[in-house]
Formats: sequence, structure tokens, C-alpha cells
Amino acid sequence: MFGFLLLAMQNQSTLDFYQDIEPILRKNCFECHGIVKQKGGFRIDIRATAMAGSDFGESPVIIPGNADESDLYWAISSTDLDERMPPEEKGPLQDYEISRIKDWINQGALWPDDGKPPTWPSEHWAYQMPKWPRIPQLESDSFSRNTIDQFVFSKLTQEGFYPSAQADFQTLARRTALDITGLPPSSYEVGNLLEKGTEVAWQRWLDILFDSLHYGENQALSWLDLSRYADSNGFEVDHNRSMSPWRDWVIDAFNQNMPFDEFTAQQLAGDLMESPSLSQIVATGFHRNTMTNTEGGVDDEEYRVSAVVDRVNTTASVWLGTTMSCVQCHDHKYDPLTSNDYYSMYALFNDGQDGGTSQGPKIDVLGEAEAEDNRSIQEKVASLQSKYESLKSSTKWSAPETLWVDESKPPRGHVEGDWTFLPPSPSTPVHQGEGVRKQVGDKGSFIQHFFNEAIDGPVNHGDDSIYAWIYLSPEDLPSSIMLQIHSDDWEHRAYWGEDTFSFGVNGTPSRFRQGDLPKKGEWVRLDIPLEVVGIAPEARINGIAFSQMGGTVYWDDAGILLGEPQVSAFRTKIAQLEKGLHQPLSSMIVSKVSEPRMTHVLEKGSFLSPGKRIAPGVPKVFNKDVKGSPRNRLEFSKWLTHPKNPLTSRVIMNRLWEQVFGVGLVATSEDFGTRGEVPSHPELLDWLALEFQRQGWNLKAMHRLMIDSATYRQTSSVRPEVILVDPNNRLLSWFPRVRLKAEVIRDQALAVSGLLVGKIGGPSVFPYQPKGIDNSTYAGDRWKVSPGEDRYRRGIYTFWRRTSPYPMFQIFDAPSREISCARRTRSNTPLQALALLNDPVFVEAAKSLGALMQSLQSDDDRNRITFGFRRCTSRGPDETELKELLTLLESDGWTAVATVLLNLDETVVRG
Amino acid sequence: MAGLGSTHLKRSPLLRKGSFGKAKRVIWLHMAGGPSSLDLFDPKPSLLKFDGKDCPEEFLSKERFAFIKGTPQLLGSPYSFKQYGESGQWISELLPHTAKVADKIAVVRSLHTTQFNHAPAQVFMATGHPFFGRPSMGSWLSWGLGSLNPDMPAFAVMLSGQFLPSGGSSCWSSGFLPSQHQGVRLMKGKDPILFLSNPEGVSRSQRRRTLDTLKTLNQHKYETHGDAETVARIEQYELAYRMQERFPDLSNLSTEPSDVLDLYGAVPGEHSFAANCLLARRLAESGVRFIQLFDWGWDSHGTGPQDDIVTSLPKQCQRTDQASAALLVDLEQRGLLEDTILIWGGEFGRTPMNEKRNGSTFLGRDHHPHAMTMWMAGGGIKEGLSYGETDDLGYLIHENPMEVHDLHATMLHLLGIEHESFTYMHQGRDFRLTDVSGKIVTDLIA
Repeated sequence: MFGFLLLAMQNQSTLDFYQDIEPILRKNCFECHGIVKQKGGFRIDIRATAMAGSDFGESPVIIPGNADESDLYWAISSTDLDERMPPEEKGPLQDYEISRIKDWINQGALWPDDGKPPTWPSEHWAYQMPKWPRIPQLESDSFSRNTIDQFVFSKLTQEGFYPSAQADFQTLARRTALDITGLPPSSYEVGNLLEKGTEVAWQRWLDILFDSLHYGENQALSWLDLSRYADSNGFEVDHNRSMSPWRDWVIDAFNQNMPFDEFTAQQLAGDLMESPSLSQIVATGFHRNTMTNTEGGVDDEEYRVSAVVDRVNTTASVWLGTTMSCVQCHDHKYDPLTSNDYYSMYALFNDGQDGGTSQGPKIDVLGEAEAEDNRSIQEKVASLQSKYESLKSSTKWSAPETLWVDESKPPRGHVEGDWTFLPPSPSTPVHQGEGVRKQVGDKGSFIQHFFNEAIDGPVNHGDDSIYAWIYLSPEDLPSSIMLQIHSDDWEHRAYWGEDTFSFGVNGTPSRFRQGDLPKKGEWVRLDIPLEVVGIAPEARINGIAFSQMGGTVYWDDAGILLGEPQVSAFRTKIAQLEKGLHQPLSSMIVSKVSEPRMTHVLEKGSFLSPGKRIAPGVPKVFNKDVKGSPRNRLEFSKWLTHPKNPLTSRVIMNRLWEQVFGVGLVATSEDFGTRGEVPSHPELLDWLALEFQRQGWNLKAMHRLMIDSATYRQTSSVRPEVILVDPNNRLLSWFPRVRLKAEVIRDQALAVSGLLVGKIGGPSVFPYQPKGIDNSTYAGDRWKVSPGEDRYRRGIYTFWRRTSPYPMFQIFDAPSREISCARRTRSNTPLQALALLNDPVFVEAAKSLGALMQSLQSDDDRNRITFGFRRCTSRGPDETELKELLTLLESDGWTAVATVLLNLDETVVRG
Repeated sequence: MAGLGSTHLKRSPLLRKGSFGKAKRVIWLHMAGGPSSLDLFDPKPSLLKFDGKDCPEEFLSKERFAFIKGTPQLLGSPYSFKQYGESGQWISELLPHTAKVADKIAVVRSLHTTQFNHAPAQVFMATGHPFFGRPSMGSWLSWGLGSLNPDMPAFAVMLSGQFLPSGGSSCWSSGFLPSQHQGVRLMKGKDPILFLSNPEGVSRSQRRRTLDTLKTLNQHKYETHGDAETVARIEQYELAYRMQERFPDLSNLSTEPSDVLDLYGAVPGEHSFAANCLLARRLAESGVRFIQLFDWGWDSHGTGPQDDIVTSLPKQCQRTDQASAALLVDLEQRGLLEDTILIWGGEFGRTPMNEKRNGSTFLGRDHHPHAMTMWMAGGGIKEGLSYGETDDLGYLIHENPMEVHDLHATMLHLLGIEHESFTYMHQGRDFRLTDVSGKIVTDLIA
């Protein structure tokens, strides 16, 4: 048992600097007596200066063991408001804080010496170039597998500890599979690795995992968080958007192991590359993942600016590990960044055509396989088409009229406009039957009568036409007339005469000119071949609109002209083939404006207060060692991955380390600034950063190096003797157990229960979710559960609606993706228990896993349970576990057993 | 779960001993869409006098509107106002029930915001910042104070009306705070909390046996790896099991006596704002720290009868007035009002001008960030107070302007928290609910 955990927390008779004192100083003193400002010539954020004198004298501000003589205590406890620190407007310290500092000084002012000499913002470690460190050599090193271990273990042994033993291969099989592909290994794979147990088998296993196409999906997960990818626009009118081609680009780029510098350049500036490929243009979608606001009355410029601001903040956070958002409004308080720095970077991203309220520019994207399919379909269509045309021209055919609408056959559906039929008279011509409709467009105005939702509409046999008889009054001619057909919508129009109608697009089926105005003063039949107005064969017609611009027109009978049956059949066949064509998906992209925009500093960050003009560039403090400053996005992307850039490779390697080891070498992986944490293993971080570059920004190679280390292969049991000195396991004396990500928990449950559909890429899908979750303000974009296999796809493909995220993901700490998220929290809550027990997805998985166990060919339930247990944990149960599960099986059946297995701590944790 | 497991005040340094800090919890009734102060709380005889006249140019020169185009005309309220109670609060005929508790509430007529679109304005009201990504007030309190009952969430959210509030789940987001502090949305229907019910065919005793097995296996494995998170997980499963019992009872209003149901106008089993108000009281009793109700449907543009001030606004009031007042009365009679801050309001006000979108003949008002009315009660708020004034047309604040940050600062103060010290370090910066401003409005405090 682990009683020592409690001991560790209670054993605090003396004050601990970092726990008890530093937070007080940080909160109250550092702003004026820290790295940026040193009021009174005094700096208290590092030991060396805190123990020295100030402007008030050479006597140390802190005299260990003697609070009463220490200026620090004197200043914070003074009753003289002019002398007391912090100054009056900030208010005094709390009594307990004062007494704590007093006690601490009297206890000897123990301040573990971090060995840090006084540094100044520009000298901050992260802004210095990484240097190849000396690789530590351990004496008689029997632990290390590679260089990483030499750094980790030398530090560990310096603290007096040895590494943990190597975990067994079944543990490692599961650990690696989940880490690399986000999916559990099959029992066969585990058995194979365990049985062979050789270095060769291990390396082969890593090959398989890194070559798996699921690797790209798994790596993409955190990149999508960073890039705030979502399938909706955000804000109030959270409409759907199409960005899945970009998401698939990311998956593919990871799978191809695209070098990270190239990965960077394509996403930030693919459009500026020399004759960019479609794929490079799609890549620029990275920065189109910003939100757009289509709410009424929204100022386009306001939201365009806020998208550019987001691009600056996201870029700084993703590549530079730097918080830029403060600098939007004022110079940074703690890091050496100014508003000028901010807006020079802003200027780099201030060149897109996109606005704040619309989704353009976009590009249509089709996958390779789909394009190939389409080519073969189009070939077949082309050959049929020529046969069809020759057949049509050689066929003599006079189409019979089939009456649909007349005074004797009023439309059966929804009608609008004037549907009175006048009897014939000397002044009222009638084409057939007892009456006619007279329609007058006063003073050249638009007039229309129509019907739709007809219940008896005809189906286009393939080559049919619609006709209508009209008579133009010679005294009062319209400028144009139009027939409009309703099938799924009204976008099918043919007109005669001038182009006066504003609907649709002229020259397309939505507004097609059929000819001049027909002859006046006599009955004329208007014919519209349905092909011309884009009504497909087999489509049902359910309305016609009769329109004119001005004039007096008599409208009489209308109906359908049946095409020649053979020709119609041919057309139908072509249409059926064309239905098999894959529709391209659109993807939002960055495209440069032709006239460059001027960038101004925005006072207090407001787009309504532009200040002085500013040129594109990068913050000076990051640019000490690079010549010249980038002037556009492409140069900027090269600057990010320039060998002289001190941050990018460190930030990326740190994030990879965080992914593999649970916590980054810099624990605040989103902040490498002066307020961020210092690295636990600075030399290792530098070595990784430089090795990454030396290997050509090869992510898979570095990932593999980490996973192939002995550090990674340690067991994951907590070390009682180490936890006392290293409660957060920063020394990595054991492998950290980490709860799986939301998506991975779901993927794993689907996988072990045999439900997972491993298809890669494509539009986002809508798995089942409880009703009432996705209740957006605007109808039309509701959550419609996907049919068939799409319900069982991996979580990365689940439709991401910003205003109402998929509930199970949200419960397991997925961000809403409104803004970039550098690090997910890992909470542990009762709502998570409820979701794993009762979310229909997990209920279905439990049933399915239960059925799999039950149907196993065996005469022993122990084997069946072992089979299920292995699927979830990659190991067999011990006797205790078997006994428990057998008891449950007896009382509650297989689904209950499966529920336990899916809910095991061991199942949702990667250990 | 928001703050579950943290049994008491976690950050005691924030709490100052002394006269302030009576309040323990908050119930916030957010009328999403922006209720029209000028038709509910802020009578303007001048507006009536100039009804139909062009809005004075001085107001329009630098103004941005959501929908109004050209020079709009002033719109006097079609409703009559009277003074109520000893305090003489001005309240419109649309809110007869609120009028009855006039002496219990402080009406603030001078609140203003910076945002004139729903989503950012709601997010501003909820989180103190118009951009997404900051923690909402409930999350701040969940993190800072925790729950009053370890078996209950610290922060619960309930919705009524046809749609979600425009800001969506950002209105109860935990932002950069650990995600267990996000608001727990209580659902209508059989599961007040998502996934609360056992799957069909699984009885409570069966679930107990499953959990017992799970617990044994987790405990067994813990003994070999010693990861404290596993112990925490075992506890979370047990807590979930207790919640399964607790929550259906809590949300089952049929156990309330009929006079209480009548007081609210709630019908057991029927989802409504009234039912949410009654449930809010029950949650308050059982230890939830921050309870927020969003009621959709206050966006009175006047584009048609569904959103005008003649047909739609009275309906909204009928749906909500009785229950809002009932909640106050009920809290008081149970002795809960003195340590509960009850607050009613929207995300912005509405224009003194008729919007007339696309020539609409229905009367309505556009979004108006410069002035809105809210009322507050309980938790140390001064009773029967009228605070702040708008100008003769109800366009700008004339006296005692109050920012959203001031509102937050004052509420935190009543909860015993110094808003300037209540910070969370994120990306190298100390963030606060009140951002970089906020002052305590002492006039509001009893």
C-alpha cells in the first residue's frame, strides 16, 4: 500500500521556498522587482540578486536567519504607508503571508540555489541558440539504449537513483501501439512480440507502427487542437464549413513523414510557393481554421482583424511557444515583446483575401482514387454521349403533348398569384378549353404566378420537355418572359427576350436564354427541354412558375412533351452513370490580396483605432542571430525553421516529448517565455532540438528515438523511494501512466469490441449523440446521425461543432477549438464514469465485446474472459481478476463483464 | 465534474474576514437575446412624446448598429409603468409578479457593455471577456471556492426557450481553467445529467455488482503500480453511482407541494423556465455554488410577431415573470436568500428607436450596448434600491454608469473574494475574471 504518499504531503514543518514563499513573491513583487523592471535597484525573482543589496544600501535585502534586520521583512510589515511594500494602491500582504516570510527568513531563508546568474529578458535561456551539449557518460552504463537515456539517467543517478526495470513486452506492445497509432494492438501482435522478445522483433514492431496509416491520424489529433480545426464557423451562427480536405492533408503529411520545415512552409505559405500544387494550396487551410462570424450586423473588418490577430497568436504559440496575445494591446509585461513586434508579425498575416464574415476563398478537392474513378466514368459517359447525340439527331420524333395544367386541370398543390381563368371574348384570346389567364405587368414590373408541391408532377423520362402556350398582346409587349421549373428547388429557369430577371446565373441552367420573344398576336408554344434547365432524368417535377417583365400576356395550357423512348432511355443511362461521379469537397484556403494592405498598430488592439504604420517583420528578440527580417509569409516560414531560430525546434521537440512522456521537458509547453517553467533537462532539450534539425526535421525519426529509449521502456510503477523527492516524476525514474485522450478512449472501445471502421479521411461524420445537444440557433445544420459504418469511424472524423462539441469528447477534456489549444488537461471526474458506463456508444461496445467473448470457441469461460481481458489490456488476467470476473459473469452475464473491462482504469490509461 | 471532491473553500487567502462576504452562492437568470429595459424597467415619457420622430443626429454620428439602417425613428413604450412598494421602483405592467417583490430587489438601470452582438456580449457577461477562451464566472467559483457539497457539482447550467444561447457552451466554459470546472448542463427529459441513467435492462443492483467488481480490480492493480490517479478514479465511479440516485430525485418536481408548484407556475414533468427556477432552488439547497439559467427568446427586433414588443415580449414576460419572482420569494422563505445572490438580466439593452428592418411594420428594437437594466437580490444586496439612470431617451447612461466588470467585481466581493487577487496563471500571465478593471459598487451593498 501507499501510505508514504500521505507522509510526503504532511511532512512540512519547515517552509519550502517554491511552495510557500515564491508564489507570494511572484504575485506581489515580481512585476516591479523582477526581470523586466527593477524599481529601487532591487530584484527579487532570483536568489543572487535577492540576497544582495539595493539602492537603499549594501545591506542585503534578505539576511538569512534574521527577519528583523532584513529590509524585505521591514518593508512588507511597515505601518508607514509611504514605506510599506507593496505600495498602497496594490494593498498590503495578508497577515499570514507576512508571517510566513518572516518565519522563512528566520528559518535561514532557504532558497534552493538554481545556480542562475541574473538574467535579463533578452538573455532568457529560450532566446539563446541551443548548443550541442556534452553527452554525459555514466560509469558502467548498463541502462542506456540511446543518447536520450544518457541525459536522463545521468541526472537520475546524480540524484542517487537508478532507472526502473524494463517493462515486459506485452505492456510495451500496448504502450507503443497507443502512443504511435492511437489504437490498441491486436492480441496476435502482442503475442508475437512477447514470444520473440528480441531486439529484431522490437525494431520490426516499431517499423510496423510507424508505417501504419493510423500513425498520421494519431499525430494529427494534437495538431488539430493546435490549429483549432473545426467543422463549423463558430460564434452565434455556427454554420457548417467544409475543411475536411485540410484535415486529411495533415494526416497524409504525417504519414508521409513530411519534414517539419516543409510542413511549416506549406501550411503558412503554400500559396506563395512557386507554381503551388493543389496539395500545397490546401495546406494553407491551417490559418483558415479561424472563426468567422455571420451574425447579423457584424462588421466584416472587425472579424477579419480578429482572425488575423488569432493567426498571430496561434503562430506564436504553436511554433515559438510564446504568448503574443497580451502584446496586441500593450507591450509585454514580462517578455521582451512590444506592440511594434506584434503588429510587424500581424503585417505578415494581413494579406489574405478572406473576410471576417464569409467562407471564401475556397478550393475544390478530390482525392486521387476518386479522381481516377471519375475519369473512368467520364470516359464511359463521353462515348455514350456521342452515340446519344447521333441517335437523337437521326430520330424523327414529334413529341406528344401531355396536359398537366389548364382551367379544367388546376394544379394540385400549393399555388400563388392570380389563378382566375377568363372566358373567351373578342378581346380575350383562348388557346384551348373554356378559359385563359391574363397577366399584366404594370409599368414594366415583374409579375408571376406559380404552383409547387404538386402531388401529381411528372417524372423526366430522360428527354422530356415542358411546354406552355402563350399569347403576347401586340399593344403591350413584355420585355421578357420566363418559365421556371421546380424539382428539388427553383434553380431551373428558361427565358425569352431581354436578360431582365435577376435570379440565377445567366447562361447556366439557373437562367438560360431560349431565344427572342415569340411572335406577338398569335398563340405560340414555349418549349423547354428539361436537360437545358438542369432537370436530371428520373427527377420528379412538382411546380412551374410563369413570369414576365411588364406587358400583357395570356397564359393557357401547359404540360409535358414526352421524348422519344429510346433517346430518353439513353439519356437516363448517362445520367445514372454520372450519379456515380464523386463530388469534390471544398476546403477553405489562404489566398493573397492583389493590392497589399497597409498595416497599422491598432491602439489598445481595437480595429477602429489604427495608429502608426508598420512593416512586416518578426520580434527583434527572436531575431538576434538571423540576418534580415522576413517580409512575407513564405520568408517567415523559412525563418521559423532557420537554424538560427532559437525556439521552433525546441518547442516542437518539447511538445513531442510531452506527447510521449506526459509532461514536457518544459512543463509549460505553451510558454517558453520568462514566466514559463525552465526545462527539467536543458541539455537534453538542446540536444533534441539540434538533432531534430540535423536529421532534416524528421519527426518520425525523433519520435522513434524517444520510444526506442530505455527511459521509455521502463515500468510504470510509482517508486516509493523517489516520489518523496520527485513527486511529479520529472526525473523520469518510472514511466508515467497517462489517461488516454477522449478520441483514443472511444476508438479503443470500438476497436476491442470489433466495431471500429478504420477508413481514413473523408468528410466528417455524425455518430450518435443524445438529442438536444446540438440545438443550434439556426435550423438547417442539425446533427443528423450518419448512416451505416460512418457511426463507427475514429473520433478524429467526428463532426466538430464549436458551440456544442460532441459530449463524450468534451467530458474527457477535448477543447472546443474556438482558439488554439496547446495542451489538454487530464481531469478525472464522475461525468467521465457516467459516459463510459452509459453513453450509447460504450453500451454498444460492451454488448459487442460481450458477444465476442461469448462466441469464442472454447469450453471454458476462463478462456473467454481471458480473451476479452487481453483485448482491452494486452495482458491476461491473474487468478484474482479471473475469479472476480467469473463471479460477475455468473450473476450478470457477458455484457456486464465487458462493461468492467472497458471501464478498467488500466484500459483507459496508457501505462 | 465541477469542483466535486473539493469539500470546502480551497483558496482561503482570498477570503477576508470582516463585514463582507455573506453570499455563498449565485443564481443567475440570463434572459438571452437582451430584454428591452425601455419596456420593462426604465420608463421614458420623453420617448413617448417624441414617438415616431427621427432619432437626434448626435446619437447616430459614430454609432454602429446590428440591423438599423438610415435614420431610425424613436419608439415610445406601448406599456404603462407604475411605482411599486415602499421603495417606489418603476416597473412596467408586463412584470406584475416582479412588481410585487419590488422592495426586495435592487434595480440597476445603468449597466452597459462593449458588445452589440449576442455571442460576444453573452460571453462577455459570462466570462468578463468578449473573446472565447476565458473561464466563465461559475468556473472561476468552482475553481476558487469549490462546491458546497462534495457530492454535487459546483456549477450547474439550465436552458429554456427554443434554442441554446448564442454563445453556446462558451457561456459555461472553463476556458483555461482545468476542464472539470466547466458548467454541468442539466438536460431536460429523463437524464438531467448526460448519461446518468443505466442502459435499458441494467438494474441498480446489477450496476452495483458491476461497480464492485470494477472497484476490486482497480484496487488490485493499484497495489502493483501505486498511481494515485487510480484511487481518484475509483472514487469518481462511486460518486457517479451516488449521483445516479441523487439527481433524478432532485429533478423530480412532483415531490414539491402544490402550493410551491403554484407559486412558480411549474408543472412536474414539463420542461419550462418555471421548472428550471424551481430546480435552481433545489440545487441551491443541495449545495451547488453557481446556478445559471439561460432563457432564449428576448431578441425583440420586431421583424414579425414572433420577435416584436407587442406580441412576443408580453409572451416572454408571461413565461418568466412569475417564476423569477417566485424564486426570490421561495429562497427568502427558506432562509436562503440572505446568502444567495439572485440576478436577472440579459447581455445588452435595446435601442430607443424602432428597428423597422426591411420596412417591417412590427415594433421592435435593435441591440443596444450602452444601457441595460438588471436586477439583483439577496446575498448582501441592498433591498429596494434604484441604482443609476439613463438619459431622457434611454440612450446613454446619465448617472452611475456600471460596467460588466463592476458587476463581476461586486458579486465577487459579496462572495468574499477580492477580485484583483483572484487570479490564475495561464501562458505566463495572471488572468482575472475582471480582466484589468472592475470596481466594487458599494452603493449596491446593504
